[in-house]
Amino acid sequence: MKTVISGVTIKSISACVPQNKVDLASFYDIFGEKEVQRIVASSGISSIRVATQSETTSDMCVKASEIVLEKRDRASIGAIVFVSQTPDYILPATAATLQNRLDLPKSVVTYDVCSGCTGYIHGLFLSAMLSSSMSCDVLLCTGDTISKHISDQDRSLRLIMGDAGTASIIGPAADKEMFFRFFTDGSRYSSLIIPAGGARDPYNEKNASVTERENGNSRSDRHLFMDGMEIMKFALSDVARLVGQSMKDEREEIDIYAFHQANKFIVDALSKNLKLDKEKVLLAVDGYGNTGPASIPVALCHCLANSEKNINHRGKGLFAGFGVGLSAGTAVVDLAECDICPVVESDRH
Amino acid sequence: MNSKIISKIAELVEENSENVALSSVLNDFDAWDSLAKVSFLVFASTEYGVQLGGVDFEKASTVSDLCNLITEKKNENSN
Repeated sequence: MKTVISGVTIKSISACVPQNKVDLASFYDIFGEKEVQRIVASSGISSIRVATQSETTSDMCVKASEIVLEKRDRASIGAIVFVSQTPDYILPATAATLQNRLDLPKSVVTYDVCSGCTGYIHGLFLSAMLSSSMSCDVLLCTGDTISKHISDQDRSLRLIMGDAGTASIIGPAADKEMFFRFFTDGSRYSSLIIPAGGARDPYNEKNASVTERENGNSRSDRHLFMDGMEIMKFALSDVARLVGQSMKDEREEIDIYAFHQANKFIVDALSKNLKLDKEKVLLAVDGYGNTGPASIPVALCHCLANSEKNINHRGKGLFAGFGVGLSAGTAVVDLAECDICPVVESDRH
Repeated sequence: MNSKIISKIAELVEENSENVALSSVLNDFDAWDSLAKVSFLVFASTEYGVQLGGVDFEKASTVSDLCNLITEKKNENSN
């Protein structure tokens, strides 16, 4: 089902990554040089950004938000949406704390949304609805510090996932519209999961124990688990189908495809599967890793800020997020007047 | 088609094509691991437009089984 939200657009986007850069060659000792190189060749990721122990997703979102708010009247912000699986606290919601940290009006309505790699699309949809119904600007923050939930002995995730936080302003624009499509299949919830720590399996001695699991990877139930084969099947079937449908939603030609940056392997496979012009498909995985709900804005900021494309070739963008849930979502957005800022590094923590 | 599949499997398991035959047992290759399997799914999808990855894929023990599986799925698609 296609949903259209009229009269709103993305006004600006910024992204912040941790200052701490980790070269994957530093994992030769743990996983072996040959194995690391084999994964790097396929993932296209030779280094990742990893938050320090005291650095949270919201810290990076605050830095990114300061950039998009700089040229804006803060009183225009009517809502804050924070999309993350790594909030600051169990409660209160991080979005509420952002009101204070960013000195935004106390009249704002705030939402935390728990979503991963589909998160930017989930957040964009909610922000566009809020902006449309409230006739105000909405601050959308997305990101994760998922590295804190990954086992050091799980090469399938440790060598792939990175941390980041982003900020976008969604606001009224009379002649613009956005198209959305969504897909959710909760039967496959266990394909990407942190099983312990929630109400279903609270922290206990058993779920703290690290044991050897599939493919020689070791982790506990408190760590993130990903069934790579299931996710790839999902990307090539349901996600490809959803993107294919979304391509027909827009009468004009799509200029930019910004897919969730899981890794080079998946982005390439999706592009090939959909027979897309490679020039139009953004890729920004090297130096960042898979940054979950931050990956689409990170790709936009990395590839389009300060580039010729920023001015000349930017028109319609098709975004696609997919992953945990399992879920997927697409958005077709006019980027012609969007202010896309370069990726910045976090302050030292 | 089969020779193309054989050379893809050879590439994935880091062997010369001469060392991979239709009768080769996939698990005999050290490098036939999860990454190689996922790569093979992508190959089948982009090259032949078929979705593998079900129980049939897990049960395939030889190169020949994979070739037959792709042929089967292709026929299903065209029917």
